[in-house]
Amino acid sequence: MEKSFEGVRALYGVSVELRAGEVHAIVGENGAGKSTLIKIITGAMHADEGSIEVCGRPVERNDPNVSRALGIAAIYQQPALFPHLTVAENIMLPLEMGARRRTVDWRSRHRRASSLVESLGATIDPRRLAGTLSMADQQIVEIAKAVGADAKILLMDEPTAVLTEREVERVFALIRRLKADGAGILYISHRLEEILAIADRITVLRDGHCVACRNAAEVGRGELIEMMVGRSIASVYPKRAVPIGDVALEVRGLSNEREGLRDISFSVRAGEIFGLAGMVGAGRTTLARTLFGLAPASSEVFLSGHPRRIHSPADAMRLGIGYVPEDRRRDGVILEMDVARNISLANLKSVSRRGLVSARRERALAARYVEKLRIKTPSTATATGKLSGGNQQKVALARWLATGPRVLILDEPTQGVDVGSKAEIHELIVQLAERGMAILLISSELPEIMGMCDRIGVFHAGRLAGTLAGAEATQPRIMSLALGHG
Amino acid sequence: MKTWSREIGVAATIALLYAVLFFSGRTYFSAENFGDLFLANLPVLIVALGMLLIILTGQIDISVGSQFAVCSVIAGVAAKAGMPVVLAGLASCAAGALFGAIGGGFVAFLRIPSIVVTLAMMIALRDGLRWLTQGAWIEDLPPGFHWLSMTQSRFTAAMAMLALVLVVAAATGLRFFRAGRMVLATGSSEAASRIAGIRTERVVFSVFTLTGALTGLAAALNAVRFQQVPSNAGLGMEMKVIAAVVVGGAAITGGSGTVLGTLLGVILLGSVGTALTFLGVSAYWEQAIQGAIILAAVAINLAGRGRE
Repeated sequence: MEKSFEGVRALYGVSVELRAGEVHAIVGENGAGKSTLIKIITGAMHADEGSIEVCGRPVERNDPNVSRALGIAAIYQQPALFPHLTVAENIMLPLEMGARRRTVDWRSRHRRASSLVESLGATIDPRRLAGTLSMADQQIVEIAKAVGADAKILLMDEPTAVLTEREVERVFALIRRLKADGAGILYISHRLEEILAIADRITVLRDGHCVACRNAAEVGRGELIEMMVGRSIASVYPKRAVPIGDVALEVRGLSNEREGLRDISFSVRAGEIFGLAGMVGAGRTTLARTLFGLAPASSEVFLSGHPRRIHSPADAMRLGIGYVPEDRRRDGVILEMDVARNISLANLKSVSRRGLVSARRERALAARYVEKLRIKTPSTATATGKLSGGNQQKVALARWLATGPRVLILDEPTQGVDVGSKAEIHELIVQLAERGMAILLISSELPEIMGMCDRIGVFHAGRLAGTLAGAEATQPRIMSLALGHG
Repeated sequence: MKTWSREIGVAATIALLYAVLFFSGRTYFSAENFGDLFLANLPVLIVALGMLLIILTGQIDISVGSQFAVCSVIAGVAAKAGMPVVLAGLASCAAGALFGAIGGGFVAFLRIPSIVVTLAMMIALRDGLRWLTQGAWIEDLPPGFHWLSMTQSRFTAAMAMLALVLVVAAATGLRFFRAGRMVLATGSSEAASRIAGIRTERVVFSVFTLTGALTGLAAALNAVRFQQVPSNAGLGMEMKVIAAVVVGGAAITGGSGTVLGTLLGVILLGSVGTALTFLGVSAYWEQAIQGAIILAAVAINLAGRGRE
C-alpha cells in the first residue's frame, strides 16, 4: 500500500509516502505543518495543489466520508469518545452511520466490539461506560474504533501525549500488532525517544517544507533536532537594549497540583522581557492563569518583593498584573461589543464616576489607544468582531494597557496575526519594556521568543526545564529542553 | 452600531394591531379599557424588566410565577394582620428578594444551570404555598388595602407614573451605568468578563435577587386591585414574561437586548388577548396567536443576527 501527497500554502510541496506494515513518523515544531497534513489526508481540508494516492489509485475529491471509505482513520491527542456511552457503542458508532437497519442489534454489537478489542490484545469490558476508562484504555478504544471501521491507514496525531510511560508501552504493543497485520501508520509526535523506538521511517517538516526523510535506524536524536530547527532568524525583531530595573515579579516553588504545574521558580525585572517557551501543553498558559488568579496557586507570588496571594483576576489587577489571554476570540475580546467598550472593560472605574459610565471619556480613552496602537477600525463604535485578527489582538492589548500594569503577561500575542500587525505588536512590546514594564511573553514561535526576549524559561511537562540567556539561548538548546532532554 | 430594527418591527406590529382595532369600531379605545389593560399587564411589565436583566446575563428564571403567588399571599396576610399597606408591600418585596437570592445563589455560586434551579424553586414554592393555604384565598382584606385607599383612576395614574419611572430607570441603568455594562459583558462572554476582572458571580446573583424583589412589588400592586388574594396567582406568568422579553428582541443566549424592546413586547402580547375578544375571534385562538407571534419574533431575531 502506498500513500503519497503534495500540498501548498501552509505546506510547500510536501510529499510523504506511507507503506503497508510501516510506522512512518512525522516530526516538526509547532506550526511546521503536521496538523495541516493530517487534515488534508482525512479530508477536513483541501490541498491547493498536489494529489493523494491510496494503493496507487488517485483520490479525486477528498472529504471525511471519502477518506473513511478508503480506510483512513485518525486518532488524536485527546480521545474523543462519548463518555456516557458504552465502549461497544462508541466502537460501533462510526459503522452504524449509514447502515440500513433502523433497529439496534445489541448482541451482535457487543460481540463485534469484544472481538475487536481482543484482537488488539486488550481486555476492556465493552459494556463499560467510556468515560470510566483510563486515558490509555480510551486511546485503545479509539484505535479499536478505527480498526473496526476497517481502517488500513491510521493517522495518529500525538496519541501518547496524555499517557504515562507504561500506558505508552501498551499502545505501542498494539501498534506493532497492527503493523504486522499490514496497516500503515502515520505517527506524529514531539516525543523523539518514542519516535525512535517505534518508527521505521521519519519525515522532518519545517516551516511547511519537507526537509528530510530518513530511516529511523540511521538517524540520531541530535540530528533530528537540528533538522527540525536549523534555520537562521530571517525576520528582524526590534529588540533593543533596555535599562533593567528591580525585580518586579518573583515566583518561588509555585505549583498547581491539579493542572500539573510543579515547582516553578523564576523572576522578572522591570524592563525585562522574559520568554516562556515549550511545547503546547507544557504548562505555560497554566502558569499564566495561575499568576492571574484564574487557577489556584499553592504559594504566594512576590511582587516588587512583597509576598501576595492572588485569588482572582480582580486581585491580580489590583496588584498591577495584566493578562492578555491566548484565545483571543473567547477570552481576549467580546466580539459583539464595540471597540470602545472592549477597551474600557477591565478598567470601567476610570471612565465612570459614581457608577455612571461617561461615554465621552470612554470614547476618548479608546481613541487614544486606537492611535497609539494603530488599530485599524472604521470607528470606536464598530463591533470588535468585524476587525481583523491582528486588530482584535491590539484591542485586547489596549484593554490591558489601559489598566496601567507593572507586570504584563502576553499569551501568544501574535498567533494568527498578519505580518504587518505582528511587527507593530512587537514594537509595542519593546516600548512597554522601555517604560519599565516587566513582561512575560509566552510564545510557540521560536524566532519570536529568541528575537524578543532577554531571558527564556523553557517548560517541559509542567516544570521549568531550564532558563537560558544570551549566547546559550540557541534554537537547538531550547528545543532540547522543551523536549525533555537536558 | 446598534440597530433598532427589532424594536421598530415590534412597534410596527403593535401599530398594525391597533389600526385594525380602530377601524373595527372605536369602542375599544376608551380610557376605561386602556386603564384595565394597563393594570392587568403592569405586573408582567415589572417582572419583565427584571427578567430582561436575567436573560441578558445568559440565564433564565422560570420561578417568577410561583414567587408572585407566594408574595401575593404574604402581602395579603400582612395586611390582614394589621400591618400598614406600605409595610405589607415591603414585606412582599423582601420575600421576593429572598427567593431570588436563594435561586441566584445556587446559580451564581454553585454553578448549577439556572433552568434546573428555577424549575425546582417554581415547584417548591407553588406546592409549598398550596400546602400552607390548603388552596384557600386570603379574604376580608382591610379597606385601606384596596386600591391603596385611592380611587381606581387615581391609582391607575399613580401606577402609570411608577411604570414610567421603572422603565426609564432600567433603561438608563443598562445603558449608562457600570453595573449595566457588567450585565451585558457577563452575558456576552463570561470567560472574557472574568478575565477582565468582572465578578460575574456577583452580577448573576444580583440580577436574580433584583428580579425577585420586582416580582414581590408586582405581586403587591396586583393584590390591591381586588378584595381578596387568590392562592393561585401568577399561574403561567413566567412564560408571559419570558415571551415578552424574547419578542422584544433580547437574545436568549444573553448579551443583547433593550428595555424598550421588552416594553414593546409586553404591550404587544398584552394587547393580543383582549383585541381578539373585541374582534370576535374565539378566545381559544389567543394562545395560538401568541405562540405564533413568539415564533415569528424569534425567527426574525435569528435571521437578523445571522446577517450581522
